Amino acid sequence: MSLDLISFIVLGIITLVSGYLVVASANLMHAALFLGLSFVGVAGIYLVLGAEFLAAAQILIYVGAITTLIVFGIMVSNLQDLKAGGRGVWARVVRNLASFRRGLVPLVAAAGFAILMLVIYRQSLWPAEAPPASGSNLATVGRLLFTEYVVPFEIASVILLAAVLGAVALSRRDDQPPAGSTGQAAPAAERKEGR
Amino acid sequence: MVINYLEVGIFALVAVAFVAITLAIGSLLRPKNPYANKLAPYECGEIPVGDGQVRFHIRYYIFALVFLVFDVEIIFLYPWAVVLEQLGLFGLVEMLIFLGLLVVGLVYAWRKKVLRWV
Amino acid sequence: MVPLPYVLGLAALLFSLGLYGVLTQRNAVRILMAIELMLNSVNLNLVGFARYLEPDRPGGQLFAIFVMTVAAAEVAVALAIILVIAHRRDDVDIDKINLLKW
Repeated sequence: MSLDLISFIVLGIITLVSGYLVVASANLMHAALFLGLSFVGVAGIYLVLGAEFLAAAQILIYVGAITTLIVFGIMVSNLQDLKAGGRGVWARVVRNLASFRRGLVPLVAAAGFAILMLVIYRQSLWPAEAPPASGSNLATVGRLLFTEYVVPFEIASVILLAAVLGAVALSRRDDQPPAGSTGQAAPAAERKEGR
Repeated sequence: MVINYLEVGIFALVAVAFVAITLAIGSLLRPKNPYANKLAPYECGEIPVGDGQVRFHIRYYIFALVFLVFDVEIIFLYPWAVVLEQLGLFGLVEMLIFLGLLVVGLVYAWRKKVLRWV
Repeated sequence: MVPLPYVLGLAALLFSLGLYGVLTQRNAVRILMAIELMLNSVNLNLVGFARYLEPDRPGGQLFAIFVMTVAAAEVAVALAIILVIAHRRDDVDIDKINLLKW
């Protein structure tokens, strides 16, 4: 077993276990942090696959920005997880299995998809080992990005612009008093805002 | 491929192991005498009131949002900086268009006064 | 060197985890996280294929970058919507958000 394969398996296990905990952990904040760990595992797999720039982008965008944004969203809305499923993971799984829409159907869909794909992958013919890419990954990606993929690159900025405009328009509330949000948490929020 | 990052992997392992071993030794050696006052969160000597998880104001979210957009922009700037010499004027113009569009978003957020800390 | 089917299998497992999360969870933020897992598994597929089919011209990696960009925009807008709903209703149970107007 090569070092690549060993690190791939370790990183894959980290990714899958934390991905499972994203879905299964009872605390919403823990789920967000496990999501970050899962992203780190995927970034490591990018490194194993020779996509160094993507690994850096994964850390910067997914771990650094998206996970941060989700954590901020949880803190801002103070969403406690819906206590619908009971405390333990397995208790929730068992209880979910009893219901048709939230138990059996998703389980069959997800497990069926996984098994189908794994069987297909097992039976297909795959290309032999490719030679590793020559030259710097960053320069290769840059040349492609700014010559052949210029139009998607510019459209990406339009998408980002639309996201900023939409999110700012949605979440600004200058026509209301700052703590005028509904809910009993408003006094507590006022108290903490000084920090 | 991953052999180039062997040092990074060893470094990460040592970092994790250091924290784990330190905490393990600490939990083995220290005396344990927990009681209610000791377990309470320390708020500069004040007696804590209410829940630890409070609702923060939504304006924190907007700062995170603006950060996210410029984070993504940085990602595109790195490969651009590497290949700019080969691209010439064309590369400069396309990046200026990209940045200009994002600055429009920043100006919008500025004009809507969401960046102001009240 | 990692065989390609291993990468694809890992991506398939990650995708079905995300799918299971999207279908079972009722908290909108949790559903968003599960969607992020699914996007990551798609990126893994793209990068794996780029490594094997075109190692010197990795178009798959560029696709993955654009997927990341779109994911960032998606998270920003989706969380803003969720926050507005949470501030007005104190609830993000998607089963209860069934009115177009409130």
